[in-house]
Amino acid sequence: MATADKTDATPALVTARASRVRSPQLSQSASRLIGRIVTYTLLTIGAIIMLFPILWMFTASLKPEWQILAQPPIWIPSEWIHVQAGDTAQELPLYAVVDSATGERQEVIRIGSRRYTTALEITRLTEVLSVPADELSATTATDVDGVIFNVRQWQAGDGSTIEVVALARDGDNLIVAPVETLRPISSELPLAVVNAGSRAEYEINGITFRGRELDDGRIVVPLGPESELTVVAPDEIAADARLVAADMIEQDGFAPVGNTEVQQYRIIDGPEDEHYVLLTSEAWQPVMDLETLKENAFVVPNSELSGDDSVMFSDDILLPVRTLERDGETQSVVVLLARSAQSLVIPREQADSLRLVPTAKLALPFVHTMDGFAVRYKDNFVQGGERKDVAIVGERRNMALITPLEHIARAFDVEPAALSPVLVPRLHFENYIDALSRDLGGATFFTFFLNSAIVVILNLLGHFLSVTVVAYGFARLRAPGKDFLFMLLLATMMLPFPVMLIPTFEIFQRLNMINTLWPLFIRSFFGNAFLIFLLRQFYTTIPVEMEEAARIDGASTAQVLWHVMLPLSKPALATIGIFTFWWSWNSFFEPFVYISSVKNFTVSLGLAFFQGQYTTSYHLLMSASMVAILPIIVIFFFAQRYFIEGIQLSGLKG
Amino acid sequence: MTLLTKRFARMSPAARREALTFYVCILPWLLGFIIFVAYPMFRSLYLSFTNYQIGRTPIWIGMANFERLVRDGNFWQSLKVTALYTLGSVPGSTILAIGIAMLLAQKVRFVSVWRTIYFLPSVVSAVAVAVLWSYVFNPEYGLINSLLALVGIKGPGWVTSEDWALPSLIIMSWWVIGGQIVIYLAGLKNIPNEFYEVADIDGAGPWTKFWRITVPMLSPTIFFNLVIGFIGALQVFEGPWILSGGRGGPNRATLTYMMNLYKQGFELGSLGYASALAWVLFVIIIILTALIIRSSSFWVYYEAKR
Repeated sequence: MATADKTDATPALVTARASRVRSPQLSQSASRLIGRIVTYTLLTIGAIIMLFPILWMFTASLKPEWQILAQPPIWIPSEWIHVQAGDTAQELPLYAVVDSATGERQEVIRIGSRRYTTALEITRLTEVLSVPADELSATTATDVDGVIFNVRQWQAGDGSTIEVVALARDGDNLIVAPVETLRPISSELPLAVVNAGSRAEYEINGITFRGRELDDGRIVVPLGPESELTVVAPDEIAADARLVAADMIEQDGFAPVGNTEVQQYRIIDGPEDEHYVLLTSEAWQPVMDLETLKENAFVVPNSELSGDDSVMFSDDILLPVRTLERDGETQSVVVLLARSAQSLVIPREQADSLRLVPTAKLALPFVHTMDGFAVRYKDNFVQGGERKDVAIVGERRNMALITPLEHIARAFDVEPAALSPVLVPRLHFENYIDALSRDLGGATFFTFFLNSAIVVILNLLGHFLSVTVVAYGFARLRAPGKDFLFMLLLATMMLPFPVMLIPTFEIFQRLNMINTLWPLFIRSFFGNAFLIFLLRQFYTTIPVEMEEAARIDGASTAQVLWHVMLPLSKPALATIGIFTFWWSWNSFFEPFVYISSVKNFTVSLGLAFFQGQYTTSYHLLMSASMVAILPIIVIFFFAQRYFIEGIQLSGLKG
Repeated sequence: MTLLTKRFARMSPAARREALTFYVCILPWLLGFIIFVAYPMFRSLYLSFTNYQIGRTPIWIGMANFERLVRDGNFWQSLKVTALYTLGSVPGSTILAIGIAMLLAQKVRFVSVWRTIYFLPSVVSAVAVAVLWSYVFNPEYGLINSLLALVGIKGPGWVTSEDWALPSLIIMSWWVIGGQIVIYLAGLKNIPNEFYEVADIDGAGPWTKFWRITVPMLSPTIFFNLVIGFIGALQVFEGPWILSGGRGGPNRATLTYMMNLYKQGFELGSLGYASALAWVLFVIIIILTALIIRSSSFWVYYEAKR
């Protein structure tokens, strides 16, 4: 064995020696070695196929949701590093880009994108051809010295193939020009620049080309294809970012930045020379800490409120501040939520925790009720590394996240594909908490676990009580008709269950057991053909003499069973227990037929239901699946032997 | 019955007591057999000739259910889907399982570790397997298409595509062959090594040894597993149900026999018609099993009883 080991490790050496000596024994050992290598290779490939999906499930269960959707896949569960934008609740994702020239890696933030198109300076074009459309191939985007053309192949009359680009349509014909004539008079221009030009027409050989006249007087025809470049800037720009209402800024031309241009903005009524770059423009929602709201907010009739509605809490947050008159005292309050007759208000001095957060971060809110007022809230909202429940109040508003222009001197544009998220590995165990605590209509996964545990325990009890006794009868006792009954027992193992399904459903219906756990365990008290067979086979291997000794001492059948047979049958009993656990834990069809309310679901049923609810939330689905299979996997690892032995017995009859 | 009582009369008191004890011992199973096996079988045969809606009383309608079945497009579609699934799943998994078992029988090291790995997918529930594969098969960010994309191949839509949905189910079934591997491995270990040694002396190559020794000696095991495999595949439910979201789609491409039966019986509430479907399946299984047993005399080798 040891030598075999050595040859495994050094295949090259052995084959070399074998070929030199050419003795028949050695060549035989060489072929045996090749055989071993092939064996292990195939086994390893097979093992990878078996394990990879399970590993994939495990890693997916620990990934954040965005990573599930990432293409190409990110194999290791990771956190995407975000940079806080100024002192706002927005966090901007950090990307890494590698400079292709210097190989230097830089961490950047996206500040926008630029679309480019291939533009042809039509006035410099001299020669065009009119070609029937069916003589041309489909287009392929081809890079010709830095300019991308939609190139088509044209079979010219003389049999040669010419690469052309279609410029316009002329009835059934296309107006084309050879690529090489177009290249010197075409360039990649920003789409915004092309579209900003005024419409212009130009005629060559009686064919009208529609184009745009640019600011510099050139007339260009956009040929496509459009390409997109992402404009990025070093991450410092996030530090000075600030939030303004979206309607408070206006576009003010383009600013050249690095090798690109960005749209610049100025604040309406602000200084003329202060320019900004827009980072994001989206809806922001006022929120406040749920705890503060619960403690300090109260409901008042609108009749007790006075004062001007237009007074706002702050520049950014659109909440009315009004005066509350009560018992002769007046108080300034912020109206958090208003209805026709009543409002939910909070004293102005308690409203410190009011702030804006991007609406996108408030998905899937819960509802908390205060004196009949429904307040929506987001649980575990993360801001600045702190988790808090936040109440959603007031109305959302479009806000612009802007940063001063002077900070982006080092901005540049890159291919979107060149950007990769900046990641640090982190296992998102919170997926498990999330999946297990999801309310699935009156129950969570814990309920399903409890139900499955009850079913498993009662099945174990049922099988141990029935199978041990029935198997003893078949193994040891003689009676007329026994052989026939044993054949009957074996035959039932092969019976397809559908043929019994509907009457069995009827029986449980008559017993009022539908939608209870009863149908899932009650039959185990009547034994199970396979387990009876399994234990009977084991019993017959126990020497009869041991039993007879007890009989002579006056033991009854029950005593023999309890004191002699069962203690000697521990391995078989373990197999029975494990099979019972295995089947009832994994069982799906029967619970599916008999159980309809979620609170009675077993784990398998609950998992299927969960899958129906969260079809593509794979991070949660995989967490739930992991938890559902964990008990049986653990048992399998500790008691593999009994699985294997039971399976072998089931398959090697004859 | 009279035969039984006669035999009882001829027995000694001790033997009679032993026989009585036997009947007491097996009573739980016998009761269970009568209530949950024998009675339901006859009952469902009766119900298959009735119009029986959930919660109503069955009304005898003769052959009407079977006539309806012949005209039912869903029945023929489900039969076709199930037949194709069975023909893909059973032979494929048998060949794979025998292949892997033969590799493991080559005196490899750490057999138990390999066996554990290959058995792992078979330990978890069919539901968990299907949920996992619904992710693996996802056309956009599933494991298979992600790996294919890495080598520049655009993978098919798998379970979302009418052409690929059933092959997807078959591929998934090939993943769950741990039980068969264990059985075949045990069967291979039962083949006496002398057979191979004698063959070596006669100069037989590996191919000859496989067809002349391994296959004949393993044939009873293969035979038994084929029967079990066919019976199981004809009743497949969980995988297609989960992967198609309970619809059997796309366009009934994964509507298996049991899914159709469940839908007719428990979604539409036609228990009588569902019973007829169940009996047709039962008869198909009996015929198929009989055919395999008949054919077995040609290819299954049984050692002479010693």
